[in-house]
Amino acid sequence: MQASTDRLGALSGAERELFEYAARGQLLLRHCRKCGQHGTAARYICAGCGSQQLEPMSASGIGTVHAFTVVHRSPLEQLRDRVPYVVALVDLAEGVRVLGNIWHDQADIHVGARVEVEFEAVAEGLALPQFRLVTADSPIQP
Amino acid sequence: MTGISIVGAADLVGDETVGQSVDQLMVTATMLALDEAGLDLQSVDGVFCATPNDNMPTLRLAETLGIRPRFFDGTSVGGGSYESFLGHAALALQAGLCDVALLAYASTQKSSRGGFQTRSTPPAWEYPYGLSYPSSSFALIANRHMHQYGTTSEQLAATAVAARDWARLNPRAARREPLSVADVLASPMISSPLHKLDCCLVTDGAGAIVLTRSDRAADLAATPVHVLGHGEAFTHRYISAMDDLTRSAAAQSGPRALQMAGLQIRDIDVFQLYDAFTISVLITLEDLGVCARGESGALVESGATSPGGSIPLNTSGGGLSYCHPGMFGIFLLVEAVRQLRGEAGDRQVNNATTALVHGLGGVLSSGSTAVLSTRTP
Repeated sequence: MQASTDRLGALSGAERELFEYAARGQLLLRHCRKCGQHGTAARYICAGCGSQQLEPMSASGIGTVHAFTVVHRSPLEQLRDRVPYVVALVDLAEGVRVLGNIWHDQADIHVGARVEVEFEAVAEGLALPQFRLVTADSPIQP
Repeated sequence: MTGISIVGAADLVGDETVGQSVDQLMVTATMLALDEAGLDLQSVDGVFCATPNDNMPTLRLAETLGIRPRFFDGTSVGGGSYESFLGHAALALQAGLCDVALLAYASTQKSSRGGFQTRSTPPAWEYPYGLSYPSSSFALIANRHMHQYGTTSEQLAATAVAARDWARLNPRAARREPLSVADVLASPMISSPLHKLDCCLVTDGAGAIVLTRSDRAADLAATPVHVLGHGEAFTHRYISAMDDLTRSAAAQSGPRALQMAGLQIRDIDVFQLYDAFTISVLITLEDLGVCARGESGALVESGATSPGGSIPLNTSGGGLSYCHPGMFGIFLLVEAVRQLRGEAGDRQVNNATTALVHGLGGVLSSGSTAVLSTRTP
């Protein structure tokens, strides 16, 4: 159990929320009630207008790969047996960019590839948002 | 900007650092720089230090030296902190808040077997994904640059080869054996597309810079190098917040420094651009306007930045081949001073009177640029 918590590092408040929402199958973002801009889960103040009126919202989970790298030397002990693995920056449909792993179909990953969110259980009540390539068989997100 | 000059510059690398602790190295470098300026230690009244051996690096340095400065600055923006310190020291001197400013840095991360040392742990929304800090972030940047502009692995490798070609002219460089593009591409992949030889070294080292107001500099020992302009900028802290992966803070800090200096990029004779990774050099060249967006790979491949080329770059061998003890910023300044004083031996750029030094920090997060010249403004 300790190893799983170590994968997440030290968490507090809003940071933990992201992983709690993920455990419930939701990708948490923030929506600014004042200007409508979306932001990442850990924002406390809107990067667009400076308002603190941020409310939680569940992202569609759809996005495209903005950039990716194949990690050959992992800094995380928990991931060493999964090397080489992909870390990607994903542009979500809501206009927010997040980091994630894409565990499968490594050879097909390219900048611009369409992806959808999936959730990787890490510990009791905590999961990691991750991404997979969209294929013809992927369920359509609501 | 008028009236601020570098009067002392020194560094210690490789065998010169053996057996010395971080504190001792900072003392040695400091005294070398002060001696060449002909200044007394007790005249130092402004200290600028971001050495990570202490949470209060300026106080640690002052205590180690046995001085009580009336101005201190420990700005921590990564390896380019020292280019920021140059600008901050210039302001403090101009305001009369200090008369002799000392910048000092040291690290023994190689001999201490600590590996690349950083106080950074990626935040909760990056850490669990297993990206190496900082190499995976630079790898993402390189991946995007390759996608957007067609930059190739061979062009990244050519950047490392150019650095090595300068290092081969530098007897004090850590790596001097011949290096080819094929060698770089054959080195182990760290985080694609960056190979081991696309990444800076991990070495021990120390450096110090001393500045005074220019009216005093003329009476001191060494050839003064004047600070004509400086600028700093920031775009993000961690990679997922970087708006444009192909454009760094250099695009703002560079023009700010040049504008203050009243110069254009074409007026620069020699460039010292922080090469934490090969891709950082390419992006900085574009940000500064040395070449057009997307053209930096071809520029380096053409040999323009290599010895004998029209754009002398990282003439010590850089962080890729000269040294890189965690933070490289001070070494860029020392090399710029050596070139402008005509002290660079076999790697001397002919008629070098004006230099641009660019420091970066974090994951291409901060940019700090300085323009130096032996010509009085």
